[in-house]
Amino acid sequence: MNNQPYEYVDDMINRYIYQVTKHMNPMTKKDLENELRTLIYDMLEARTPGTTATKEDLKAVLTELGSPSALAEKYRDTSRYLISPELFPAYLFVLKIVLGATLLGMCIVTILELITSYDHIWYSYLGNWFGSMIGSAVMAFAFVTILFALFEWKGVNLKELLPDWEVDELPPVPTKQANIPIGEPIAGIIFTILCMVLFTFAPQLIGAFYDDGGLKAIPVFNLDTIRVVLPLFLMIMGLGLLKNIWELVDRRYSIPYAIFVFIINTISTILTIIVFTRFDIWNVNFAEQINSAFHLNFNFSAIASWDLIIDNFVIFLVIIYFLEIISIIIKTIKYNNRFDFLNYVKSMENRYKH
Amino acid sequence: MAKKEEILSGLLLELRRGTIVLSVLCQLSAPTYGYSLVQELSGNEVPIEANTLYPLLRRLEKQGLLKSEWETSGAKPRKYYMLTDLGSEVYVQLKGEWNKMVVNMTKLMKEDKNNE
Repeated sequence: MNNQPYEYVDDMINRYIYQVTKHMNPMTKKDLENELRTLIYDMLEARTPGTTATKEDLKAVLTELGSPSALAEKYRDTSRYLISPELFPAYLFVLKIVLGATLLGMCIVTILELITSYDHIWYSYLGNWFGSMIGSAVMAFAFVTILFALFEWKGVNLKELLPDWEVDELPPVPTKQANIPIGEPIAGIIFTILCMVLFTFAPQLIGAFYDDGGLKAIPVFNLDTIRVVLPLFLMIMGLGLLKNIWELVDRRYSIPYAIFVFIINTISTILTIIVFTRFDIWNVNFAEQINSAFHLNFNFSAIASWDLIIDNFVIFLVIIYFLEIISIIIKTIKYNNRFDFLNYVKSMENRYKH
Repeated sequence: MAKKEEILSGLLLELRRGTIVLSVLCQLSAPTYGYSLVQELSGNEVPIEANTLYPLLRRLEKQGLLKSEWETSGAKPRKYYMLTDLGSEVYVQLKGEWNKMVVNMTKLMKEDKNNE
């Protein structure tokens, strides 16, 4: 009879210690386990000198020591976070926008698919819609979380909390124009994600619609090629998202931001040139198909102007990237004074000395 | 008035927190194990909880102020802690600072005009 509570006590002590030490460094784990075990038996003995400890005694002792996770936390040197409290507000903010835009995009794609179908039954689309909503929400969540976990891990501090701060390195008080308007990155994220969703799930719907006993679409792009270049497309758009997320976290035209945009846009330009010149991504028959679908009588020059558009579209995109870089460099020079540039160079020198 | 008690106990906790290291260091010139230190300090009305003391002992050991050794000849294996040379030096200096602080604070509070 007396034996039973004793076994119970041993068992519970083992469980408690296991919970405290399970994530500890294996080098010190055994040592800590032994020390804690002796401590708990000492505390039990102090409560019940000479007699066997009961369930209640054990409960009192372990309650005094506190929950295993709280005790383990006290043994940890520094708090560890996937995303620390400093980054968390920015994380939550970005997550809401990305999730919202993704779900909105999926809704639009599903509705368009539903409208343009006439041989399918609506509830099978409802099922598809539900499944793809969950799938894309999980993807969006994972993307943002991994990105911020990387920021945390790499110690990327977008707020420029330099380790050894100096008085003259304090960032200037932002004036209203010196800040990137918040609407820009939000609109950018929503637009980019809508494009990503559309290109991934329904590239056939990017085009002109016409009524032929049901809504039909003439695609602008060559669907077979789109499938092949999709990863490159998503990379270009992903880079755009990175830029927008930076803008949300730190809305100043800072020097690191200008450098970041320069790099991002240069990579995007190269990728864009590859996509538009190395692949036949356009639907070359677009103009003819429009002609016949709408029973129009385009002359030869209308078809030629379509060729003109697709031949020069890449130049148009490259000019946009280029103008953005120029505009941001000008704003950065305008809203940062000469001290900021000198200090930036100095802080970079310090960083790479170590 | 529960509010006043709350504020007071919060401030007291902060005040004690600063003295914990000193109260531990002063007891460890001879090898001592954790739980006997808990009892020793409670007996001197400087109570400290085991779940605060044990992690603290490890931290001080990591900083090089304490060293430890397992004593396995008794009924239970016990880990004994004691000051290192560095620990003794730090303790003496910290104690000096504490004494200065007590003198200065006492003087300061004597000049307190609210204290009649």
